[in-house]
Amino acid sequence: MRPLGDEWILVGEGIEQVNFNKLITMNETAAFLWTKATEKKGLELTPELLADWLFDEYEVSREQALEDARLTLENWEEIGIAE
Amino acid sequence: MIPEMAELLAEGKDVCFTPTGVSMRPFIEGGRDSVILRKATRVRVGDIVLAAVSGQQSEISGQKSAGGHYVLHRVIAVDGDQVTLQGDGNLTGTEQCTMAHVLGTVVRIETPRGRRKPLTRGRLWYRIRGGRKWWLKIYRKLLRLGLLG
Repeated sequence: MRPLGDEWILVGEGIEQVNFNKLITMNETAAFLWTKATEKKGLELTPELLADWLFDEYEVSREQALEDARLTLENWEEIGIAE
Repeated sequence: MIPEMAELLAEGKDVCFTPTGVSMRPFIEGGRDSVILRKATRVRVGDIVLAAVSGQQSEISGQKSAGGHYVLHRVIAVDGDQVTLQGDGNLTGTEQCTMAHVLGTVVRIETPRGRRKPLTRGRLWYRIRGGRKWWLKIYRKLLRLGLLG
């Protein structure tokens, strides 16, 4: 993850070319979740897991956390960075 | 955005983006063609480079950089450490910078459809720069008529 303005961009470690026309940008919350999601290898990403992280880190209700987590995971699957 | 590109280039990564503006016509159509930049191991006359030059506002991004701006222009002269640049689509006006301010060289130009555009040294284009105004007029006409892919 690298900062770009007040967002974060994903740049793969082995990637030899960075395409600024197709950047994957994340706001701070998504970047926080992504960092945690990629800390351990082979972690199964469920909305409940992400919601726990959000609930622990931010002042947000469990329901809101679960909703945000679900949307985030959906988004990641859509753009192909999670399965 | 360009400082981030500079960092990635310095790390040895290639950077792909779509520049804006008309200053590199007819070779690069701003807002449409994309370019791939690579760290420059050496700078030669004829190279198209991304450089930090002293001046006002950037044509690429509209960004004002501290004490200068960035251009994606062709190298028309090299004198020791001094590099002179000029946009192929500019009638007059050149920029100066040192070798250290050249962030990367264009290694590929692509149309939106992914078709590779010729990457020449622009020697002929430079030689006919006296009539550049008219050549660019013709180019713009062809562009408007949709005859340029």
